Amino acid sequence: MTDHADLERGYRRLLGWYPRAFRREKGPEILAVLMAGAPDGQRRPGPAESADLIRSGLWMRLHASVPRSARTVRAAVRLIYAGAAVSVVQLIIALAFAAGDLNAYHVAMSGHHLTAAQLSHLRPFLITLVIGVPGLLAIAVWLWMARAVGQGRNWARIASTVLFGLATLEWAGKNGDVAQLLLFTLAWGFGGAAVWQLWRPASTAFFHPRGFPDPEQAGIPAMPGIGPGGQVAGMPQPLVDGVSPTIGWQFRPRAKGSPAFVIIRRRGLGWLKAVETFPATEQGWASAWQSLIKQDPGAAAQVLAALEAREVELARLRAGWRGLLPE
Amino acid sequence: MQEATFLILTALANGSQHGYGIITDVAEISGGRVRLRPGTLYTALERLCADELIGVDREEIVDGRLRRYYRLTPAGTGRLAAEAARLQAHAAAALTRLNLAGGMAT
Repeated sequence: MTDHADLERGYRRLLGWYPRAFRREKGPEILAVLMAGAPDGQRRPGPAESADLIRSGLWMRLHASVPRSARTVRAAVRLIYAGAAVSVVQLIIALAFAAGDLNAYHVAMSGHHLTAAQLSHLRPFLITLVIGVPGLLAIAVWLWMARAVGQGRNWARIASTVLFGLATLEWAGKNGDVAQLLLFTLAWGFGGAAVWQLWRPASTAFFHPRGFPDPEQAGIPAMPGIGPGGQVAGMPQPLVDGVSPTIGWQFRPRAKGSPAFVIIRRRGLGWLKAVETFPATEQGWASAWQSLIKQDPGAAAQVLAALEAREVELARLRAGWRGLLPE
Repeated sequence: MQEATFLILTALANGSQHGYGIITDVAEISGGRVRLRPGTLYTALERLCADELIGVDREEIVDGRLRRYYRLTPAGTGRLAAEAARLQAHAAAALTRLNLAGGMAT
């Protein structure tokens, strides 16, 4: 049983590589899959599965997954990725020129008021600082905007528009060699098309600010069904992960009133601790909710929002499948 | 379509399955050759959900663990059928040319 707890703690730590919102929604589920796949006696995650989880987590952090139904926002995200790709090309060309051609190097450094000695002495350093860092920053901003826009953040839509405005001003006052000007225009074009997609009426619904419902007014969500066979004693299992405090359940055969609903708080290193226990009845579920709301209304609202989002998703899919049934 | 994606959709073709069920089913379909790791599986599931080829069917708590069942959407059924037909046509062509299929196209 301690092997089990050690392993579970190791997996929880690895799940930290995933973005918070994803972990909150899918964390308990992935943990269940990991534990189901672990051979008896395994005490810690293996190197291959650790690498797999880290890679997957980073991909989720970098990638914006926009539902197909939000067509215009999807198009905008693709255009932003295209802009980022152009920025990569721009950076490579600028670095190659400055490193290979002394004239290009001096042109790039003009306006920085440096002596000839400084220029020749600090060349690799200056190339990195004056060309490399801003170039990488630009790419990072493109990727950041793609992700935030893909998550439906309205501030990102506004920020993208402001950035496009600034780029337009820079473009108007730009003079330089033809290749760089052409690339800049291309990136500017992708940015402009993305902004246009973001402000089309079809996109606006996607950006409606999603406030958390008020748990006191929304009431208590339906009690989850806990199936038979729940005799595994062990760690508290959050119903929604990534929030603290959160609500969940725990099985403790020797304790009274098992299984039980619990209020769970996150301690250091992803260690979860049940701080309060309630009987696994409708009454216990209601009391657990009241306690959670009293302890931290914000966290309760987040848990409630996650549970409701699942319900909405389920209802939408049930409606979608009616078309599948034979007439 | 990547092989892993194709196998995941195939695993869901005749009913909903939860994450671990998909992993064991994909291993069985591929004769033990493809063993999905959980990270890879959930990356794929996330993308398939965004593409609206699959969706969440229901949730259950079994042995104290949360299980979420996934199933194909109508769009997913269509994509899988189209991809299977394409692969079948390619395989038939290959077998015909290798003279192994004895001229039978299907």
